[in-house]
Amino acid sequence: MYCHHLRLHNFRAYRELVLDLPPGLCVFLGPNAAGKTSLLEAMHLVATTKSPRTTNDAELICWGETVARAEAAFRSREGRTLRLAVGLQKTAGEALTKRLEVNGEVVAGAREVVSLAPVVMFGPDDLSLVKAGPGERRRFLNTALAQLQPRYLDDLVRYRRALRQRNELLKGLREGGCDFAAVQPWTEQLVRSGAALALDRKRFVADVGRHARELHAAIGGGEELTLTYRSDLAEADGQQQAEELFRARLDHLADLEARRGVTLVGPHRDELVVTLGGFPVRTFGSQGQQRTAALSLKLAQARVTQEWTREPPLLLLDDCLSELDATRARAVLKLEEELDGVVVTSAKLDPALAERTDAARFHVGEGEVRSS
Amino acid sequence: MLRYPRPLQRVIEELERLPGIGPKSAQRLAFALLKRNPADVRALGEALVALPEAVTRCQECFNYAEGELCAVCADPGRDRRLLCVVAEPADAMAIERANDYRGLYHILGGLLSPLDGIGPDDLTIAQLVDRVSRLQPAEVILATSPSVEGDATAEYLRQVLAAAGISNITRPALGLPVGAELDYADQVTLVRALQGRRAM
Ligand SMILES: [Zn+2]
Repeated sequence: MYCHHLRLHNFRAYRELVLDLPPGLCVFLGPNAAGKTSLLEAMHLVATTKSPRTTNDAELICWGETVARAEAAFRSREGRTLRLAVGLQKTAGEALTKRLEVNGEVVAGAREVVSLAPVVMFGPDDLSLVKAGPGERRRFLNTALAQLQPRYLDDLVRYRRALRQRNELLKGLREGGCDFAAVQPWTEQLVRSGAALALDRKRFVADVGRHARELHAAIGGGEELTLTYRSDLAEADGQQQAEELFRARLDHLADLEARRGVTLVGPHRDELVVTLGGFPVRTFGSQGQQRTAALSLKLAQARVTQEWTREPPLLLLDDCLSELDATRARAVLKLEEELDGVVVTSAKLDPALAERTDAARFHVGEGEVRSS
Repeated sequence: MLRYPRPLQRVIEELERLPGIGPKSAQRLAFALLKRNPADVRALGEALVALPEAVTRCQECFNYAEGELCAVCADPGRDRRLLCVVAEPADAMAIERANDYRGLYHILGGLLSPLDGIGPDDLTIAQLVDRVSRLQPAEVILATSPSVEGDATAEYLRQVLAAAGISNITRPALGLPVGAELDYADQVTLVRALQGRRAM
């Protein structure tokens, strides 16, 4: 998959932008805050329905405007064209409507979009992938798996809903308001969707771990990178076994849950442990080690996406090559051979970028993008 | 400041209180009423006035009715051995429109949802158990929606009905729309339909 056309209207600093891009490596050059990241952000937004930088979509609308639109056309390896668009409109009372389009037709929700054009992005903020708490790594698993399997997002939504409903009842139980039999139907919903999530995550982590180790060997230091899926359900194989294990774990903690008034077992407590040379990167890694570990994870996600869906994802690398020496930056760019589209932003033309004379270069500044 | 005459303002305010009607649509509807033939407006008013008394709940199934029993429960031609449990009257109406099902209904009046403070006592579940022990149906179909709340409600009912001695409890399969090309089916629907496959 590569993005061959991008069209923006009142998006961040871009009043109007129409941009055609070739397959292969594209490089956006320009000073900081010139609007390079916004271009990647727009591609990420239309493909995943979410900005990688903000959860407040109103920020995406040009200052002083009420509507914004981002549209991108992607071409798959099979040669199919896919047009995705996101329209944003501020309405009365600062409310925001978000309209998702697939090939010109409005669709109801993210579920119908996220698996169509796989995109993997790495930027400076993604350091949090290894540095922040477990929630950030669960988010990584969720975003990646939602792109890989349409069913995953459905299970995730169901799981979260069942969890909230169940916790509400457990809270009542603690306060002596209801009986435990009333909890069981929600436990059943929790178990079904939760078991499916755990199995998907387990399989994904095994594959990502294998690739991340290999990629890290090329772009990181000498220490071995390992990923471990730590879950209450990690040892289960198959849906039925995972459900039985989940039920048994919940049964075992029933009294404690009733006292605490909250669900104590399940995928909402999962952790993805990243270690370097046997030590957790989160607590022991240097800033540089954390960065290469996080980058390895994202690049591994790109490879797994290619393996599982047979569609190479569009890889977006935001301002992350300058931190690496030329050999390692070269190793990252080499991944382009396996993919159909890699878009890179950089403040300067680093040696590893300069030597890639095959790349399409663009200069970005003052709300404009010029080919060079 | 210019104000609408009181009677007009009152109609706008009452319309605004209805679900899905904002200030603008309320105003537009009120103006439309003013422009209509007075006899039509009076007919609408009379229909509205009669509504609370004229429409009751069926004492058997809790669907809307004009007397003690709804049209389905009052129909001697319906199969009393078959009971279909749904959340709302609109769900029963949807099944009726297909004109295929010949059994009885039971309207729960909603779905279980602790977050909204809706528990078993807020639905017609006790009445369902009572009805089932009287009717002794050969089959009870739990046709709540396939949402988390619909599935949990069905699961709760399954337990309650099993405890009441009902052995044949069914749930509609999640299927693909008839005539849909597999190639174009929503992928989640396709996966769920495959998960619910049966031996043949
Ligand atoms: Zn009735």
